Amino acid sequence: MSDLKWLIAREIPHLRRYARSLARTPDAADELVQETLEKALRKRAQWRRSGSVRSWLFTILYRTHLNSTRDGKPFTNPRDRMDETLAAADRRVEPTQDASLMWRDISQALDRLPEDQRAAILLVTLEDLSYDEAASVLGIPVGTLRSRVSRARDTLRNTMDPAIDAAAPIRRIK
Amino acid sequence: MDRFDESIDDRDLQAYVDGRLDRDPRRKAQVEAYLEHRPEAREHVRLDRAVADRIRERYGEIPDDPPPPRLLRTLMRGSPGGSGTRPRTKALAAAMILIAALSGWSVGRFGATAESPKPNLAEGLERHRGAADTPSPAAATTRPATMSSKQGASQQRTGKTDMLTMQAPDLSPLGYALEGTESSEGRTRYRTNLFYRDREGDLITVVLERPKQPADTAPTVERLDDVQSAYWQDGSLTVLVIGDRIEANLPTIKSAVDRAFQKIEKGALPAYYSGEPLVAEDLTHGQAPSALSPGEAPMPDRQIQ
Repeated sequence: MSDLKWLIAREIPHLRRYARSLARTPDAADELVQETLEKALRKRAQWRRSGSVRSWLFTILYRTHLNSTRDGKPFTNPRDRMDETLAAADRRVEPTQDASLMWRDISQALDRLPEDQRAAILLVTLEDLSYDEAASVLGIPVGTLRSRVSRARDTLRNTMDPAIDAAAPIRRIK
Repeated sequence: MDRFDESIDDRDLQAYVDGRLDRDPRRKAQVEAYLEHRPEAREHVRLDRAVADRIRERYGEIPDDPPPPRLLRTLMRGSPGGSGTRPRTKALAAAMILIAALSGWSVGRFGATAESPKPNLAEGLERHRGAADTPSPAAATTRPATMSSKQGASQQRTGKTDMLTMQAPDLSPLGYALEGTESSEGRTRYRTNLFYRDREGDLITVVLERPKQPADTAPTVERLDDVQSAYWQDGSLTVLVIGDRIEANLPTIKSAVDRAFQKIEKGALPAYYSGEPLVAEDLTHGQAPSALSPGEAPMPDRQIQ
């Protein structure tokens, strides 16, 4: 096995997490990750050793996701996605009703965002990529990335405002 | 009001929300001074941070269920190196071993006990014999990790989960190579079986479990149906070894398990799933990867027990 494969293997959990935020159902997300891995192996020569493996893989994953949705073959349809989102929320560790509602709110709010804005804010907020890295993953200039994140925040801020103030304090993951 | 107030723009506020100014305390202080006098902007920042927290809360957990075997197979399949790459292919499979235990199992206080908890020898022997009856795979292939039919259920967490991750013990000094792994979920715990085979086809099965109570016990050697076995407990890990010549090789086997065992503090994510590098020497057989990219950890040696 090449060193690259080993580096790729280390990124699988992160790929799965980002894929789940895009595709949402765990099965669909793993399908997306699998396709990403296959493409990465086919295109391994394209990886620049000076670059971050994670960014490179995220780039492939995002483009794969975009292609699938553009082809009309999304990895899951919105209704399934929502059902799964709610089901996943219910499966969490002893979720309180507030927590379920909270997840539902943020999931619905993210669902309403345009795909490009959603992908941008997830990379920055969830994956903690730098603006440069996130822009690189999405194949856009940094200014455009910032703009998308800002617009996404405007929407989410307005959408989530009542829910945020109504919900109990939450536990931070990171 | 700070004299730099007017230089603060939306980009600075975004960077502040995203924590990107933590490494620029001067600029961060300027933003905070700016916010102090602008309640509307301050409210935006508060809401933006709350939304970010919601997103992390909803999606932020690294998936703690084992990666589906097909993902690993995808990586293994593409290896063009033939038999020369076999050890590291196996190492990759080993890297995916994850043992999780349900809540209520305190971790961290390991008091030695006189009585060694006896694992389910009969069940271990059954798995050992089942694997022994399976023909050894071709030289260039590795039997992929298999998951029990209950694996899906194991992904549903019913309580706080204590995580533990470790590399597969390296039994190559004894001439045994990891042939496959198998995970299953029992009524209250996960179990991982590791199957090692040597060139003659002899099999050693290592069964790893999380015990109900942590303890440290000395190995107990026992014979069951003419097959040797040894078992002991190392804190929050129960080890059962089954195979030929176990007693003679016990010091080497136990040493290999000890080296591989890595405890993770309760509540923390396992090293693999938090993205930290695994033990480099375990995965590369002493050869440091040459393709590290900037920002990637240089595979530091991890102190493992």
